[in-house]
Amino acid sequence: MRRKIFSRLISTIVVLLGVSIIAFLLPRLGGGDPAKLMLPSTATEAEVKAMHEKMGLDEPYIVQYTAYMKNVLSGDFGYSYYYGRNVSELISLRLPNTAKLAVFGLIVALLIAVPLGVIAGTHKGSGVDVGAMFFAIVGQSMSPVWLACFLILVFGVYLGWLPTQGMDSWKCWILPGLCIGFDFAASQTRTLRAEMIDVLGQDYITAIRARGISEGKINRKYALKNALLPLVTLVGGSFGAMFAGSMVIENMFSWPGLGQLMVIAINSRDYQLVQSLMLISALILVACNLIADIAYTFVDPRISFN
Amino acid sequence: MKKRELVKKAAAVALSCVMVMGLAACSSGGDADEGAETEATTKGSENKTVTIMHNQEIPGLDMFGAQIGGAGTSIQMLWGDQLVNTDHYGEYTPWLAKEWTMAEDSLSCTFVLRDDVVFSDGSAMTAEDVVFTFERLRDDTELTNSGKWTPFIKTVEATDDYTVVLTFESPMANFYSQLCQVPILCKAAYEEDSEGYWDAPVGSGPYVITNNDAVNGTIELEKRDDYWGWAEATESNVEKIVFKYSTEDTSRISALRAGEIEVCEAVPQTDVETLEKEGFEVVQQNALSHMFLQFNCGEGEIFHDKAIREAVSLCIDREQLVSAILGGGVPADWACNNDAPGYVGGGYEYDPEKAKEVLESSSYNGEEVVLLSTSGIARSTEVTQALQTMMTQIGLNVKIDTNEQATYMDRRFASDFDMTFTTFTGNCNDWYVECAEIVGANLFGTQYENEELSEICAELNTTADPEKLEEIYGEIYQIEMDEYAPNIYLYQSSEINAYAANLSGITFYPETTADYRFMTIE
Repeated sequence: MRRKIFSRLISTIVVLLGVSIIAFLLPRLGGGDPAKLMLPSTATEAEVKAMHEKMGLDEPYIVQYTAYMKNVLSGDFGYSYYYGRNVSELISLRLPNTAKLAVFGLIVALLIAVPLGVIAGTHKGSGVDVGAMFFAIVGQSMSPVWLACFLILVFGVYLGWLPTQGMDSWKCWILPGLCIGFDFAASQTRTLRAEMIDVLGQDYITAIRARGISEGKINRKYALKNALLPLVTLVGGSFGAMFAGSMVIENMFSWPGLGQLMVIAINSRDYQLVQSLMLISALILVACNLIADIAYTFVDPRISFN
Repeated sequence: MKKRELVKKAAAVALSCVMVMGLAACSSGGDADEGAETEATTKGSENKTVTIMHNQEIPGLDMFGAQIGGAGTSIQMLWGDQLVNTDHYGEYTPWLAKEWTMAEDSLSCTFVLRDDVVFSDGSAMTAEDVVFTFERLRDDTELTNSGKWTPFIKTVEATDDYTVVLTFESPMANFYSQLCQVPILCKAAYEEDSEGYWDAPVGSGPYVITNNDAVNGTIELEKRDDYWGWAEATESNVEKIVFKYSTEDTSRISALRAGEIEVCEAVPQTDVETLEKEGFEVVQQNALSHMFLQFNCGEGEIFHDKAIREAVSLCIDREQLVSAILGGGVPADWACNNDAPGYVGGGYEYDPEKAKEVLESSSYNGEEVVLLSTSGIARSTEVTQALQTMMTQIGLNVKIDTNEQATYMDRRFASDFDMTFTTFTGNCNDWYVECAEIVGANLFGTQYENEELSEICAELNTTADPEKLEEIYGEIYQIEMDEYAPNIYLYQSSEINAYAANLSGITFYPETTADYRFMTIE
């Protein structure tokens, strides 16, 4: 067990190292000069050069990368020249906002997917089943931008039931939460339906039926637990992705989270902010997957960790 | 079985109908109910709060410490005051300075200040605060946006409590347009806490910053009852102003229509009709911006040949660009806006047949011409496609290359383009920067060499006299018209803002800035 945990830790470190290198190189190779973007467009060459020196961009890439990683290991994620603040401060201000949205989105997604998927699976061929499949197909093919516009217009503008922007009250969570969880809800409805159908066709379910146990109890106690197993793994990965920030949703709803911050950082070529955001996002994804893997061993004792 | 299949099909049809209705609900512009005018309501009227949503994020409040854009300038006008006020069309009136005298040689300017101005911390404004403000622009090397001032300020001296003399290293041609953007800082408050000053700057303006959450995109201000300016102008009854932002047009417009905000800046043309029908006040005006094509005129480049530049200019129907694509603005007929100093007018012919003849007589051999553009300019996709069509019709082989802003700027500086679609804004109708730096100093890689033009542009640095400057601008524009280089101008864009009908007293300036100081809410 200790060996498995150790090997998992090593692989996590390797992944994060790889992400840090990609995060470092991508914005630099993608074009654009952060010094020129920080200065007025009419800045002189001397001013641009001075800005390069101030931002440390005149050093070779390896020196820049080493300095950055050294700081990261001591908890300093760098300095944002665009905001004029430490990156750690910016991330700490935005991370809770994204976390709230991700958790809410996941809860909404599960509240839709689990009952709908289970009912569809247990009532194969029924109207609910058709509706669930339609929802699954439409939900997975729907553009999140379109969905956001649709929800804003219908519930915000025409009906006036829900706010369209910001996070002033709990009502502000609903529309962006729906958008962020919609795709996951659609895909998991389909997955859960298929799993229920598969599990209900197993021999042991037939044997349980033969013992005279009610259909409802069979579905709840015996079939559902096994059908939910793949969901545990999928929740970990998807939640990690939601937690890492949805750029589109956060921009549409002016939700001040990591996704919106990433868009600003990329546009302004705020290198250290981009690098640190990508690193944090990778860390969150890895952590969520790890938690999902651990949870799986508790849900299904037949599976050992890693 | 048949019945079950029928039920399935009916369910599928019903769900499809819901989807189609949803698509219909999402359409905007002309689909608003005809004639169903409603009075635009606002949630802020009860507590006298006005929420303004603009389209730019604001990383900070110090306009000399970061690029804060027009929205930042609007906020600055609320917490701070400048020495002079402006109508943003080149007229300047006293504000903190009761009067001023510019020396004949343009090397010094003497300001006499008001003696009744009080900062938001209760301290009185004196000449020392003005001296401190301008010395900071000259000396603080941490500032990234003080380049317009640093090379020009020689000395700043307080000759008494309310008189300041500013001397220059050389005449500063755009002195006034820059002066009206400098808020006077409270020296004592800044020296006491320079690190935290910009979280809630102490200024003499009518409002005080009470919440600066720029990281999350919200800035809040509250009204000062002791503001000196209420006696000079109509006092505002707005107790609180909140600034938010969203880069998405749909989000801003929806927030306005839902009554969550009272003012929406940067309204797309396509939403004007809907907003007007719903009872909002829509202000559309010609911006102090113009769009133009900039040529790479270097040796060996396609547009080194004047005839090809002329052909491009002749084939562009500027009138059609404005009327058919933009729905607003003014087609260019000179190398500047029609209200800019130095404007003559009557140039830029549209004659595609003549364009074809001129192109045939040129050195053009069918090579691919790269038109560099950026998604950061409004309607750039539609406009560049229209330009491509017009140029293709005369025989040019044009490829549009659209880049995001950072890469676009890189390529311009590196002269990695044949022609580029670009824009410039002349703050306060001052075109010094465009003429001296962009045209005269070839800042954006046009590689255009014209000794006469360079000499005339250099004359801009010898005077701050508006009449002399206007003469020089006129000469520069004439050369640009004659040579079709380095730029040919296309149109002056329009700017649209909208606000709830229960607001009044807002002045939108044509450079993405607005004066909210004296607005009232019912």
